[in-house]
This record gives sequence, C-alpha cells and structure tokens, in this order.
Amino acid sequence: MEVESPPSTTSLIQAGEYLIVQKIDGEQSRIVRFTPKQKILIEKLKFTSDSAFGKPHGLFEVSNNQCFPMSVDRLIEELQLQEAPVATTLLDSEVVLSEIVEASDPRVVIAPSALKLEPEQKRQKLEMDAVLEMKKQGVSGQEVVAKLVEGSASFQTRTVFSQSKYIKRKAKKHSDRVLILRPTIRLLAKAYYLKDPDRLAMLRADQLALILQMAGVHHGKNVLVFEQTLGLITSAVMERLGGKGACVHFHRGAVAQSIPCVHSMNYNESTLSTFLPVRIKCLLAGKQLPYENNRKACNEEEENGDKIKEVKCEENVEDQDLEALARRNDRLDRERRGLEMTFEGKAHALIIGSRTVDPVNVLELVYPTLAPSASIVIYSPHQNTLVSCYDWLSKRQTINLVLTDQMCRVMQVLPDRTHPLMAQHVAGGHVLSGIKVVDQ
Amino acid sequence: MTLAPTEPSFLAYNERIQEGDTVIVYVTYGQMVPTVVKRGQTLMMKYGALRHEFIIGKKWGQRLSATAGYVYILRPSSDLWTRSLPRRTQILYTADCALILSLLDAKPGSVICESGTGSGSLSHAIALTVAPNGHLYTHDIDETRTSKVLEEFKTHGLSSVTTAVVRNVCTSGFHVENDADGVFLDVPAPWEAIQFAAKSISRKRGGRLVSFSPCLEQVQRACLAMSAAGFISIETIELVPEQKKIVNQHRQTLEEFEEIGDAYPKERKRNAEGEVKEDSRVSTAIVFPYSQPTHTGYLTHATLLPVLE
Repeated sequence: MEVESPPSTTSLIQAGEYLIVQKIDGEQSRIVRFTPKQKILIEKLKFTSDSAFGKPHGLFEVSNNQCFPMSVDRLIEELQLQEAPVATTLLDSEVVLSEIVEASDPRVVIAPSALKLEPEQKRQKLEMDAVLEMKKQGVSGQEVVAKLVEGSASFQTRTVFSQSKYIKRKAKKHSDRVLILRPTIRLLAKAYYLKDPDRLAMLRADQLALILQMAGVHHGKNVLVFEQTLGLITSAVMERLGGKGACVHFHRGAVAQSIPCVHSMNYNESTLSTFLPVRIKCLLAGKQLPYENNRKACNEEEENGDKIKEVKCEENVEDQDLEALARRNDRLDRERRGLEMTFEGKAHALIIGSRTVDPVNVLELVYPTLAPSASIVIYSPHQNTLVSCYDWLSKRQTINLVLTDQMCRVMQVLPDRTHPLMAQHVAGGHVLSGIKVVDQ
Repeated sequence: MTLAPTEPSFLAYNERIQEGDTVIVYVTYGQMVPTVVKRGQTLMMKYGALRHEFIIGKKWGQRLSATAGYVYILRPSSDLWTRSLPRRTQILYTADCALILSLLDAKPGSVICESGTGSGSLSHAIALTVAPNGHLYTHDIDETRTSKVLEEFKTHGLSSVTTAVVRNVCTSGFHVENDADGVFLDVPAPWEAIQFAAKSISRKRGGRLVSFSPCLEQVQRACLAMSAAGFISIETIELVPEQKKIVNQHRQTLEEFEEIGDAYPKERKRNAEGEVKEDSRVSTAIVFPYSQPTHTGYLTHATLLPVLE
C-alpha cells in the first residue's frame, strides 16, 4: 500500500515554496510564493524574501526590510505587557475586594476623557512624521507604542480597560511581528475567504470542514468534485485521501485551471497521484474526447493508433514537445481513470461546491452512476439553489436529506471582557447532504 | 461458513456486504441502527424483524424488506456512526467533529491525542482521518469507556491506528510526549491539561491544540493557560448549526384567503374539466425542528510553533 509519510515540517524555508504570511493579530493573511529577491508585503509591512530563506517556518520580527527569527517567549511577554494596566489593577483590587463598596471598583470609573470631545489627533503629541521617521530608523513596533502612550494626553485619564484597549490597538497597528507558515487547508481557506469571499462562493472554513465530514472523505475513497471555489474543496479532498483513492476534478477547458489552492499546498507526488482532472467537455459527452489541436495525430486516445506513426511523430518534435507530450499523455491517463470512476459506479462520494453552475445540471450527469450508499454533498451560497436540488434528489432515491446552515463567530476572550466580536465576516452558504440508495 | 477475506473496516470495503461488516440499518429519518452482520442473528426494529442472512451478499445502499416494512443498509461513515452510536456519555455531533478535525489540521499521517474518550464519536472521526499511517491516542479516566471504544475500534477495523489509555490527563499528562501533531481537550478543567498538551506536541514539528468547553469561565482560564504554555494565535469560536426543512409554501391570493381561510387544501385543485389547476405552491426552506441546540461548547484553538534550535 502506497502511503504518504507525514510531511516533515522541520525543513527550512526554501525559494519557490508557497507560504502563508500574516501579521500577529493581523486582519489578513496572504499566500505568497517566495521567489528570490522578492518584496513580501503584508499590511504595510515589507521585507525581502531572501531574508527568510534557510530559516525555519514560524515567527519573525521585521526591521529594515529584513525578517529575523524571533522566539515565541518574547512575543508572549509583549502580549502580556498589553494587558499590564488591567492585570496590576486586578491584583490591587483583589486584596481589598471585600472592602469595596458598590461602584467603587477603580477599574470602572468613568474616564474624564470620555466627556471631552476632542479629536484624537489633538490629544497625541507625537506627530505622524515622527512615527514614520522612527520606523525608518528601525525602531521596533514595541517602542513606537511606548512613545505613543507617552505622547497621549488622555492616556492617564482613561480607565484601565481603556488603557489596555488603547495599547492593543496601537500595538496591532504598529506590529512588526509576522508569521511565515507552511500552508494548511485551514489557513488557505481563511486567507482566501478574508480576501474575497465571493470568489470562493462564500465558502467559510467551518462549512468546508462540514462538507468533508458529510462526504466522509478519508484514505482510499473515490470522490467526485465539481467546484467553483479556487480548488479549495479539491485540495482539501486530496489532502484527506493521503495518496490513495481518487479526487476526480471536473474542469473547464483543456487543462484544470484557477485552482490556486491545489498548487499552493506544495503537495508531494503521492498526494498528487490522486488528482484526476476531467474536462467538462468529456463529462458532457459521456466519454473521453481527443484533444483538438495541430498535434492531435500524435496522441489519439485509442491505443490501436499504429505505433509507427507515433514514432515518426516523436522524431519530428523537439525535446520540449516530448515533455509536453508526456504531460498530455499523463493527463489523458488520469482523465480516463477519472471518467471510469464517474461512469462505472466506482465513486463513493460526490461534492458540488457551486457558485454559478446549477448543481442539478451536475447531478443529472453523474448521479445515475454513483455507487449506491454514496454520500452527496452540495454547497451553495444560495438557499433556493439547494431547494431545487432537494426536490430533484427526493424524486430519485436519496435518503437522509438534510439542509443546514451554520453560524460561526469569533469571541474576544479577555478577563472580565469576554464577548463575541462586535463585527466579523459572516458571509456563508448552505449545505445539503444525502445518501444514494437503490431498490435491488 | 467462511469469514471475510479482509478485516471488516470502516475504511476499506467490498462492493457487497460480508459477514463481520458493520452495517448502518436506516429505518427512518432519525432512526438508524448500527449492527455487525452475523449469521443466525436477527435485527428487531420498528419495521419488524430482519435476518442477518438476508443482509450478507447484498450491495451497500440497497433496500431490503423486513417483516413489516423496508429498510436501507448503508456503509458506515464517521457521520452515520455519530448519529447512531450507542451513547454512554454526552457526545460531539458532526458539525463540531468536522470543525475540530479541521482546526487540528488532521490528515492521514497525523498523530493526535484526545481526552476524554466519552462514547467515541470524535474518536472515530479522528481515527478515520489519520489512517492509515497516523495514530489516535485517546484518554479517559473511566476504564469502561476506553475498553468499550477499543472493542468498537476492533470491530471497525481501526485497531492499528488507535490506542486507548486510562489516564487523567489533567494530572498525569498524555501517553505520548514530544510526538503529537494535535491535541484535543474536552475536560472540565482544560487549563490543568494545557501544560501537558504542550509537552505532548512534537517540539520539532510544532502542532495544534483545540479545547472544547461549554462555559466561558472555562474558556477564559484555558486561554490564559495556553498563552502561558507558549501557544500563539489563540482564538475562540462559537459554532451554531441550524437545520432546515423543505416545505411547500402556500401562496394564497387575498381572494382565496377570503374564500377559504388559511386552511389551504392539501389536494391540488381541479377545475370543471378535471384538469389540475396551476399549482401555486413552491418549495421553500424553513427552520425545522422548531427547537434546536443553540449551544454545545466554545472551541478554542491555538498553535505551538516548532522550537528553534
């Protein structure tokens, strides 16, 4: 049995690798292919890719357009410093807690500054130019925040909670700590979702997780995937197969494209071997079609195409073309196997993650030849699309049909200040799942 | 009588059902019975009796007649097992299991520690995901729970990827040290186990921690402990699934309402010639059941980075 060994995460950052870059407490994360001499930009922070090569994945400190590995202990110390105003008062107040009369908790006194309605700029002595100059000189974000606190006229009059909030806000803005990590499905899903949910059909990470679980994707399964989610579903399925089984991916045009999530996972050969791209054209035709272009003669899909002719062809083409030919033959072979899975009852699961295509159209083509007991999972940002799928499936033999929606929200967790975030990304879709059965 | 040539398994199965396979017998929506197929036995359920002899050799997903109705025999999956398993404790349902797997970055080859075992709902989900070359170490303080789940793993062909340990992780730590890719905690005092979770995670590879707690007070203490133990990117999320039902929506005109009220006829109306009148009903989704779980637990997840040499 061919299995994939757990990818070693001990290796160092290499040129050409896809990586996830995010600021600590940052609002976005980026997927970047690190090529030599590249400028990596993340939320106004800039550094050269070269400074990361040869270093282990993890936490970095950016200064003067360079990044340097940084210990987590130092970061945690800094984070605790942001909580310092509250933490110290908490200690003080605990001692006298029993004596405190109602409303005399020093932490909740209304700050006089709240009553003055001055714009914040006026209350800050430190000019913006000075801040920029400090950054140019390579002063750390930590020090900039300290200077800002010093320069703030209102800081001392704030409540301790407000002080902590102020420090946190400034620290977030001026943070020069970045994480450079190997991509995982979870990180990719989040990065693309935050960047442009619409291109991802609003597919949230928690719903992607649900799709995989409802489809029962695991080692050795054969899964059919039609998706318009930048390859995210395909890539997640491939990872869960772990080198055995099949992920049949239906795509437009001659080759699978617009699937950055598959490319950026740095998959090894074993995982890539389960990727079986099939042209939609072939799916529509119900059989494999030859490629239509001038080199058609060289590789008809029929094996009986006489060998002599083929050899002649190969002699005429350059090495480059030979390579292209090998690639194409590999594609044709994968496609043949993919079509076999699709039309010969070998698929154990069907996942549709649609943005613009009507899932019923896909169902009409592949549902009849799904293996009995196969799971069907359909995701759409539009509920009414799934209602039509439900109608279609319930007229065939599909049982255990469930339509779900889910809310997923992030909480702010701080001592005495825990609550859901005030606003967050909520765009998402719906998931319909069911199981195909047969009469006999 | 011959035994199946391969070990019956949730992972690998033949097209047809063999003796020793675990089958999920689907009776009605919401009623599924898992059963291990064995000659001579009979399953009793709502639709009467079903002899196991009858199941052997049938295709997965096939409809079978019992004495008083028919049922479907389904291939086991993580989700179906969660829906039908014998419950010994409160269990984690599919929505939470799915998100936990994703937050743990679980995949084939991962080494995952879990505590507690409970009824083994999440344990099955993890075992199926990390197979065939990963491993699940599941810990519980109650010996009856670990032995029960071990028995199930054996029946389900998951023995080779699982180990169940009787142990209190809050005081004695995990069975594995410096080797796990992920740790999942569902314990009353997670903050006590977090330092051990950090020890359990591979120093070279780093790893992920996910903690499930119903109460915010537990979450607050857990977050502080995570930060103290060196975890970063700590985030707490709340997941609330909502199930829907597809119904026919009545769209009455004011005239119809005036004439017949809101008791809309179930049968399609026919006109004088006996033709079905244009159906004014459309399929639409409503929230159903009317009462649903609105809280299970908060999921707090965090990363432990590899240690720099």
